[in-house]
Amino acid sequence: MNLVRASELIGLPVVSIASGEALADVRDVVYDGESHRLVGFTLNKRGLLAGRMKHPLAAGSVAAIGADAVMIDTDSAVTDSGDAPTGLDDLGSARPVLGNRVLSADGSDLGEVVAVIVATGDRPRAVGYELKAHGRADTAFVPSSKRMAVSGENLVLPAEATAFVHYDLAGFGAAIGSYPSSEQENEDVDGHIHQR
Amino acid sequence: MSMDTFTNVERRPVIAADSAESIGSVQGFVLDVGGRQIEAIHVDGRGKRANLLPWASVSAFGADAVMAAPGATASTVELDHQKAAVSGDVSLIGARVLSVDGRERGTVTDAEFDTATGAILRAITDEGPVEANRFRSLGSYALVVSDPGPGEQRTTEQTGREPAPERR
Repeated sequence: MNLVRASELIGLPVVSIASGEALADVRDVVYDGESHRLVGFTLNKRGLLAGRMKHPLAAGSVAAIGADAVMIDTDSAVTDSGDAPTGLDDLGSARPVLGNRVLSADGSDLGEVVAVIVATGDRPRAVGYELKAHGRADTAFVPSSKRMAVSGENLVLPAEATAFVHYDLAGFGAAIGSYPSSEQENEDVDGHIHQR
Repeated sequence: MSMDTFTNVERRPVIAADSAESIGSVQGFVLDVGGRQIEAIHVDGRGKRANLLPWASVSAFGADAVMAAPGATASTVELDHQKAAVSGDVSLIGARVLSVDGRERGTVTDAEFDTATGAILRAITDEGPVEANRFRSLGSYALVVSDPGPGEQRTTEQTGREPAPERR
């Protein structure tokens, strides 16, 4: 599984598979810290007209994320006028997560969230958090889970997730494949996250 | 089937078969949005004055000259994708190759086409050839291509199953 920090996606072009045109650049990543879900992306216009676009891009409209571009199936997923594209119903409720403290189920402080970790590929989704680990020089990676309790200041890591805590992104990526991500759990409920 | 390449046919004269007069020479091509078919040859002029000869009016794409069918005339650019092609905004040669999974796969240096039908056969890139059946779209940003078929890159991930265990 190829993992990146969400911030690394900023600046990537958004390219339509249908037309071969770059329609926008990623301005920022919209993430909901309550459902631990990648919601979408705010966009900048490209080139001389650079500036924020009116409507964001819904994560469900993304066909794939690669090292060089965010791919969408059709040009209509990105629009700068009129009504918002479909799939963006819950954008307004997105809860920020950076700076939250993560506690283990047994009460130890694992650290503060410094990044959201996204799995790229043809089913992009948020899979975890990078923490500035308490009492350590390096950072820790923990899986995100719907069973993670959230208060707005603190996240509590479920006991069964403890085994998935890693101190390097590659090791985390290798381990996380067998952990049910928050988005897979959510999928049955909302059903609108990227189906294929 | 006979084929030729884009770089090889540049500047080839375009001649009217009925009058034997010159219509122009091959300046470039207007392709469909998929990048798989030549729609017209850019034969003369630039910008708004550019002239296009529709592929349907080509009676023979010869080794030394392109023959235009009797009565054929070059037309001016009308459509957006024609304007983009004659201005160079959209060009197969020089296009960035981008896979549908969002990874850059080199730059197109040349392209082979069927001189009888105008169908693009493959793009030649600095990372190897890309068959035209993998083309998804050609735009001003990129030539978007599908992933290679089995045997080229992916293995079990694509077939979705493990190789059968050996019997003893």
